[in-house]
Amino acid sequence: MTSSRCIMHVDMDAFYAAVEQVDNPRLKGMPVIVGASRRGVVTAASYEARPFGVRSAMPVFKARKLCPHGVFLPVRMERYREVSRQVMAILSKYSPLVEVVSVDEATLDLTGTQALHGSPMKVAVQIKGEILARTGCTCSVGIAPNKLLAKIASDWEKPDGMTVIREEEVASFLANLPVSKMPGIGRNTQRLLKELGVAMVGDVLRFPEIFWIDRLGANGVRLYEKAQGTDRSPVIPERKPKSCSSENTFPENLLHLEELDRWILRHAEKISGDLRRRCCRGGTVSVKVKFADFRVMTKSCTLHEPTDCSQVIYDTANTLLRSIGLRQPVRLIGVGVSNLTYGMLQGRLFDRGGLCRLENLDRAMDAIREKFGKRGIVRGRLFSP
Amino acid sequence: MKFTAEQAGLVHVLQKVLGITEKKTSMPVLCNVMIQASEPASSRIDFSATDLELSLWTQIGGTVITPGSTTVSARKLLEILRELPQKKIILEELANHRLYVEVGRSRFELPTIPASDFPYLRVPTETQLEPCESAILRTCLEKTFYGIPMDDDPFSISGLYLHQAGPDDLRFVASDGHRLVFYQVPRSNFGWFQSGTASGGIIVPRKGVAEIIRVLEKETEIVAGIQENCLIIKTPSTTLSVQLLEGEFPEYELIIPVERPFQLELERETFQQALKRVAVLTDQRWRHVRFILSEGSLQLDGGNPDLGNASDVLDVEYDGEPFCVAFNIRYVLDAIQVMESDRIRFEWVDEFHGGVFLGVDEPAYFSLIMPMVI
Repeated sequence: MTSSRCIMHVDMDAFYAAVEQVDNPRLKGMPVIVGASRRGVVTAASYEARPFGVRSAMPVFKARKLCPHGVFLPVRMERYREVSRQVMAILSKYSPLVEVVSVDEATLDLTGTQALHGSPMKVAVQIKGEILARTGCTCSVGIAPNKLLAKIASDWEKPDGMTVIREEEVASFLANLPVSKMPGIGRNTQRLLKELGVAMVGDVLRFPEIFWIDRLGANGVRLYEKAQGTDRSPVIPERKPKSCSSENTFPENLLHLEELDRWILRHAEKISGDLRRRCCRGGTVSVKVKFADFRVMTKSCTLHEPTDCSQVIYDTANTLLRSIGLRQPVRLIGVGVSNLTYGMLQGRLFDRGGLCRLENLDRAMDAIREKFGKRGIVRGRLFSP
Repeated sequence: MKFTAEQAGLVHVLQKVLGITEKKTSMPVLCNVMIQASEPASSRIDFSATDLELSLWTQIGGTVITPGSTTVSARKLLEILRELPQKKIILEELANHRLYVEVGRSRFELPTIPASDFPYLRVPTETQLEPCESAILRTCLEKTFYGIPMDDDPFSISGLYLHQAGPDDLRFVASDGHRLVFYQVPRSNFGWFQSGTASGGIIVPRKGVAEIIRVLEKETEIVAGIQENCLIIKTPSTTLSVQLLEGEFPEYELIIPVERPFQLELERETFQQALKRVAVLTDQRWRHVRFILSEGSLQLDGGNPDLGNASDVLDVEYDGEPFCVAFNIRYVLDAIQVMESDRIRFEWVDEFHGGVFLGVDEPAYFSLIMPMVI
């Protein structure tokens, strides 16, 4: 088998912020920061905002301090997904093997497509052009012999970059790559590397493999492989999600159980809808609560049988919430399901508790929403005119 | 307390008792077996154990030197006795409340808990117990045991339901909410069963059913009865009391399709072997087998993207419409494994209603399995 593969990683540049700038051209050239809720975190910052030190995952209040004249916008996930779908549709024209990593990232396996589409560089230029024409957003592309290097390459010349790492250039490229640019190196490993004076990826290879295994176990093997630029993981289209969750930070801390209860119901509805769309069911329900003092508590419960029914998820989450015991105001609440199962469902003999009816209700609501939009039908408890 | 008894007899009684003792409990005394040596003249040693729901009393002959009683870990005592030579064993409660076990040059001392701390168990009275056909009872329990779920859940009860069916029959029913099995026998075999109980039936917990089967394995002469919400099974040497479960068994009769317009007969052995082959490529997450039925053939398909796919074809006498249905393969294997009939009959309505698996020469047996759906 030939070992030479051709992998392309496409990463949209400051995606959410870029979409906002496209939708509202007045924002072009201005520092745009997405994540406007008073107490949330920055989900994206445009390149104009970055010189001020604004980074994603930074608390919004901090970003406001750093960049007081920035344009702070709320997250419009629906819209970003819509643009993301357009991007993915373009990518899927160039290879059957497209792995959607997240809303703004994807990996393509271009091995063996040269005859059809031409050289990877030519494809990259075409893809960048098509994405810009269709969505108005720019992206950065990395081309390399494997997924790991392609991802590093895409990050190399952001924004609107294109970096190619050829097989024969791998060693010299990595020799001068700071270890912080290597994905998948955790905090502990970074600390160890710093203590050992390992600054560049190439320095890792100055110690024998056994040295890293002694210190990091199985991760040592991975680190040594990564430092050599080895990554055998295949591009897997349609990676199935392993869990599904929904959470939100409140504008004001909440203490009333009834109010939290309604949020739980909202999250349960959203998650169960996601599950049904993906044709899977969750076996474990969990609840996450962040208190005013930032202490986080999670609790979970495994169900007797996997479910995609909003009422079952809501009831379980509600019981969990009550078992947590709320002694102080709540900042954030979230519901999640994991332990997802796909495929066939075992039929039931008895319909205790009217479960079949509740499931039918979900399906009916899905159908109405499909036709009349998200607000086409709302549960009475969640209704606000 | 001091007595001697044969190793083999002691191992035998402790094996009987061990299943009853609790493994994980907040009451350590429930892990123990109570040993009572009565007056020297009777030369009888009694053993009893309970988990508060199941209780068992049994006895062996021996030579009582000093009467008395104590309790000791059933598991440890059995483990020790198993390793000892087949000789007379000396057991004695020492002044420091340890149980001393001696044979030849081997000596053991086990901690005890005083007999006074052992829960008071009212020994069932002999009256009101009626003779019971041990072999038939054992068959009824063994045929239906697989259908009893390990735990209670909102859709099922972890117990075997006994109730009167029609004027002359008694039915043993189990269901885990996904499948149903029952075995029906003439009531005349079970004079002890009082259908006068409130709901018209009784529910025997799963652990109780397992213990009754164990007791019946070696005994043919038994009497049985229901006393104070407990099912009592008594053999010449052993008495077992099983507390019945409260709660209502689902109205299972409503979900059995009365009209089952389609049917198919299969050789049990051939069918079972084909299922076992397909089952190799099923696992916890992908457990279905697809029955793809067309004129003259039944194709069994199983498998999944991770493990691979399996397919097997059986020649069958069928000339109806093509039909496809999927079941949990484990459930189908369970249902046919307990059958004795050489031929089985599969009856169905459609791919959404439960499929019925019957023994052609075994009218007492009925099993129904809900299909798997997408």
